[in-house]
Amino acid sequence: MNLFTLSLKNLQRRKLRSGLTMAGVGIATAALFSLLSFNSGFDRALKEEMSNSGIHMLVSTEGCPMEAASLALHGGEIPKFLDARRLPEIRDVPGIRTATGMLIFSLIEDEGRAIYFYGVDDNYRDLKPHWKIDGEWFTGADSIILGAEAARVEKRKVGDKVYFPGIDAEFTVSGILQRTGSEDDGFFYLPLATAQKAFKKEGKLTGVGVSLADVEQFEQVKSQIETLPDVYVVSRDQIMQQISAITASSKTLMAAVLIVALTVSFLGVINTVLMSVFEMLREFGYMRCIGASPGHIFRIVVFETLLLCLGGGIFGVSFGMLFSSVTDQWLHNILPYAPAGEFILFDPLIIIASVLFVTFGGLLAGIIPGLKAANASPMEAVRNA
Amino acid sequence: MPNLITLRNVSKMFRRGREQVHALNDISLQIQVGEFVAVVGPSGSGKSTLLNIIGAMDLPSKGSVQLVDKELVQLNEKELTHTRANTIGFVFQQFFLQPTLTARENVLLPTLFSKQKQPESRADELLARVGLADRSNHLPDELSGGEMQRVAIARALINQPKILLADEPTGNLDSQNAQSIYTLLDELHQDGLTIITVTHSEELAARAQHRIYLRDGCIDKEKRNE
Repeated sequence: MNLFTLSLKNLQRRKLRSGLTMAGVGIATAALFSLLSFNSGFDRALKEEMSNSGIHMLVSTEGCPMEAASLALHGGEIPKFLDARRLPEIRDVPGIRTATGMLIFSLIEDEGRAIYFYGVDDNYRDLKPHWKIDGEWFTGADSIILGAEAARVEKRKVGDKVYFPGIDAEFTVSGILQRTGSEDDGFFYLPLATAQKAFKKEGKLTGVGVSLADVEQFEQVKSQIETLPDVYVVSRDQIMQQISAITASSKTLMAAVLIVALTVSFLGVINTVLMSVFEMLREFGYMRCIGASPGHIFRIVVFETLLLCLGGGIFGVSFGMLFSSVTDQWLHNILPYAPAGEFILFDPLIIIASVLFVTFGGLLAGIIPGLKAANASPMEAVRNA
Repeated sequence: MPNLITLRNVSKMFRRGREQVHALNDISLQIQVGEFVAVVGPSGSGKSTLLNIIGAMDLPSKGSVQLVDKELVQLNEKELTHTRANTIGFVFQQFFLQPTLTARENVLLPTLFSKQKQPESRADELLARVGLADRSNHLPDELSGGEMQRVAIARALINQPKILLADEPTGNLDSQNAQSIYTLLDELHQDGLTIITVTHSEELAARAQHRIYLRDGCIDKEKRNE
């Protein structure tokens, strides 16, 4: 037996109260763990998504480059379009490996579900070397390639016909993308010319995705492209910065909620331990009679808070990991921009940091009750005996 | 026999609201090594205050208390704690056993605060000594009042104190259990332990060789058996 086991046994005397306090710390820890994981996972997922897009820069019409960038990643539509005549001119700029024209549109189906169409040309395949297609690339003007998730939702396989009443057009599925784990899985890909015709945007592009032969030449290529009329160039980094800025306010709000949750849970710990200290003042006084120093009593109480917070921390991290997919889904729904892929992954550093943080918080929370208990006088026990 | 405890002109005053209470008034006494002392007197006569001062739990307002070779009023908090841990064993009317600890763990509790070597074997010896070897793994609520007080006595002895202080040790016990405590205290005294008990029990007081009668904070009379 030692002071630590004595503290543990003290906690066991008030199982319900200790359990509830631990649950409170656990929930705050789960929130902390989720936020830390999200912060790290969001940046990682964003980088992965940008990298998977294969685009070093996006050329769009002036005025809406960020929207175009967002569309390039997520689908949707914007009111301004780039003149398709810019595409061959961009391709002629030295230093460009691939330049592919894209027309992106959305269609709302009867049940309110949005369908995102990507009109792309053959060069688009160069930006997606990791794509694996079951079936074939476009075989004709009426062919369509479905993302893995789109094919699952539409219950279509290669060779099937798919009809879209919103544009009154029917296509034949020439290929289905194998699952990529990115937003690509949810899109419907059409030949660029077909898309332009279907959406009545002949000669228009949402943007041009550009892959460079040498990334070091980024500034030179950008300057040359910007000499073309009515174009605007955004880099991958700018897109990422812009997306991070859009998400920053959400992150700040979440951090504020987390701070409140942690403060409330630590106050809960102080309250619980302080209550037990008041209840046990006579016992502490008696311990002083049998030789306990104020330091011994202080340690007993601090160990109690430590155990509450350590237990809560371990519970919270386990809880956070167990429900990471639910949290992931929720974050994807509430954020103004959420890259594909999981935010909350098993990261030992974040797990350790979360548990250490609440444990350290527990140590601090134990100071006030610890000092109160340490001041228990031996006379406290005998005077009330 | 040499003196173990010497009180010289000890007074203890404290305030109760606006009133100044004289709990002890100019008390002087000596207690020798190996004595069995009973402090008796009516409620409010200052018995417990005297015991607390001897036990280094409280300090006098005036006078001096010499315990073994230490002058208690000159000790700091750390030294007083050390004295309580290593020189004195306490037994109280309410037992004060930790409800979540077994009898054996309760006996071992004071060793968490001292540097006692091999306390486990001594705890087992003491439990056997107080007749509770077979109850060592029982929690307090599984023990009778008499058994709990015997555990408390074993706990008071774990750090091998020079003095056992007992405040109404049989106050919460029926006569049969009280009898077993009297017998135990007698045995401990015969083994050479100095025992000071505050009691209302005439039977326990009669067993003591040195009786101090208090009244209104003063020693009314003092008797030593020859």
